Amino acid sequence: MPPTKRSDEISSRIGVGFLGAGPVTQAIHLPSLSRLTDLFEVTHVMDVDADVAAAVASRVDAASSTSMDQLLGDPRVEVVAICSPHKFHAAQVIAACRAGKKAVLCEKPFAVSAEEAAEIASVSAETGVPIVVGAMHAFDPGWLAAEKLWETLPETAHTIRVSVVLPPNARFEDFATEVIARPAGGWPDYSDPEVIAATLEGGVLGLAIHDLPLVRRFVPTFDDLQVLRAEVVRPWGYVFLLRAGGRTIELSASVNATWKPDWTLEATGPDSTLRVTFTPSYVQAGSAVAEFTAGGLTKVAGPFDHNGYEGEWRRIAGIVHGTEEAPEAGALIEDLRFALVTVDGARAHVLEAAV
Amino acid sequence: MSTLTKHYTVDTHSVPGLSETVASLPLSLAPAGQEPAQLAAIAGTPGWLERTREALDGGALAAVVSSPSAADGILSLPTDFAQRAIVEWSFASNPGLQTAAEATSSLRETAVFADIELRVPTETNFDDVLLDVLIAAGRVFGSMSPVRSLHRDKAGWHLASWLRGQASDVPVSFSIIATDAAPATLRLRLLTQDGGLSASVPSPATAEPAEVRITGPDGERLLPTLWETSRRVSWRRAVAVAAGEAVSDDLSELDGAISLAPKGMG
Ligand SMILES: NC(=O)c1ccc[n+]([C@@H]2O[C@H](COP(=O)([O-])OP(=O)(O)OC[C@H]3O[C@@H](n4cnc5c(N)ncnc54)[C@H](O)[C@@H]3O)[C@@H](O)[C@H]2O)c1
Repeated sequence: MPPTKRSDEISSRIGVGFLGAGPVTQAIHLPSLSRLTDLFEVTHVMDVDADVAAAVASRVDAASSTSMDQLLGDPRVEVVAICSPHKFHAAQVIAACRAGKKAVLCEKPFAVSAEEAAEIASVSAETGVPIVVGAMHAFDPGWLAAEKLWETLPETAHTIRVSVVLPPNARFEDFATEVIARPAGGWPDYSDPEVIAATLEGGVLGLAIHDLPLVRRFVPTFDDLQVLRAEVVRPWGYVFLLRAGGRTIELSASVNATWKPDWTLEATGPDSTLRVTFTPSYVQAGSAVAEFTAGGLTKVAGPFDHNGYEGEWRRIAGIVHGTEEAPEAGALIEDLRFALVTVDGARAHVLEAAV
Repeated sequence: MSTLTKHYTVDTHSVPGLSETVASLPLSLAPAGQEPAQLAAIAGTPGWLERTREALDGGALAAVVSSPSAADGILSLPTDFAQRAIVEWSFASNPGLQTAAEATSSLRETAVFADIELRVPTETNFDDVLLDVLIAAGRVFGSMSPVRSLHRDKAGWHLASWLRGQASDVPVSFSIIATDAAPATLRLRLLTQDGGLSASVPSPATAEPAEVRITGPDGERLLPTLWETSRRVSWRRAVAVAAGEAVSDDLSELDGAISLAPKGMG
């Protein structure tokens, strides 16, 4: 990257508009883009809260508005980043595609039902607008290095395990409260199976979703997905045991008062095993570390200088400049379907166990 | 050992690799000649309970049973015999695991999740290693509800339980995973509301210490552990039992683990 910019380069920067300017925009995307000022320029910030939109826009010297149409009509917005609450994602992705933008970055999950996902797929195919879903681990250089190390593991892995331990974070509380009204001053009533099912849904769509696209690399098919265990971990978290495509998948998360985060994905087959250790969310600098072991010998890759949040934006720049392929919309839909099938299976499992 | 000259004889042929351990404890142990061994080494294959009874009946001062399979009637062994039977587990007998067990008693009350994972070479019979996992889990996690088998095939075995005596359910997850990627290891975690304990126990072929860490609000501590194999520790315990300095409770612990295991194993 050139240390200084000439004016013709500045004008060639890609204009970014944000739909939703909450914590994810402020704490994740703006810091990432501040490291990529040679590639991007934030031109427009929209939020339904006018004060938030104006305050965030003023920090990056961008226009602000409270209307999606106004942002989509702004010719200086070439890429739309969707960082509103889940339930608005699908409609906003579709509107951004129809507005003929160069690319859409949508925070995970990009839809909350199979119908929405199918609609997105058809609009994306029709308009040809590339969509990137903000599953940052998939863009982490540590993960990308793992792909180069892992040899035949995607075909041979029989056991995949993702374990997340995170310090308390208001964001995770929101995952739990998004789907159920949290009683004032306490945690949900886990004696109610409906509450358990809703918490597990929040866990899959809010947290596990980060890694499900990665897990799916080792799971050839999931039409036969079975939920063998689905339980909450108090005060907030989950443990799932799944079977799909001949693989066993264990997902666990515990959000507690510890100071020590741990976010690890492991895939194991008869002759080799991969372990990828990710940084906690909201951390900007530094990537995951990948360790691949076969025959008692371990190869280690990383940490690299940036992580998946920045990786997403670098990928988008590559897509807009035509140097990188856009993710295949069908694969994104399959990733989402994997999450939704897990949610449905967990719900059925919990409600069945309750009778 | 009360005196330096006193040593006990062992039939080093009854269990493979035993002569090494006997040689490494030269003041306590010696290979048995023609006379019956004073300390019996019993392989844990089916029939071990009868062989243990016979050895103790025949005058052995103590018996070390290595990795016993599930058996009925363990509690019918006379108390005097049971107190002189030591069980040697590949992982659960690791000295680091004992350290972990002592450290967790104060953590269990605030536990939120526990898991234990054993990685073994492919072709391992999972029935032969489950009890080792259950004993290790019991020592560190404490009392658990009966263990349910969720899925088993040649690649692995996954089981589930809950910690007992907690105000709310604390899930426990067990996995046995078959892989030749690296030597066998056992890993476990007991997560609490504000930290927890983690242990990584190396293959029984090495004396490399287990790594046991406790995390709490003040930081993380690596607990002191010893360079000693689970086998050598077990034989030192046998010497103490033979000398009348200790009694063993291993068989009732084993019986408890067998009663927790899913029916039909073994
Ligand atoms: N990649 C990650 O690490 C990560 C982490 C946390 C959350 N997320 C995802 O990012 C998204 C946003 O998260 P957040 O924590 O910032 O959410 P939030 O709900 O706290 O904030 C979203 C912002 O959107 C605004 N908003 C509400 N309705 C809107 C609409 N219709 N159009 C535009 N703006 C609207 C709100 O006023 C708010 O300022 C969520 O989908 C979440 O799942 C991603």
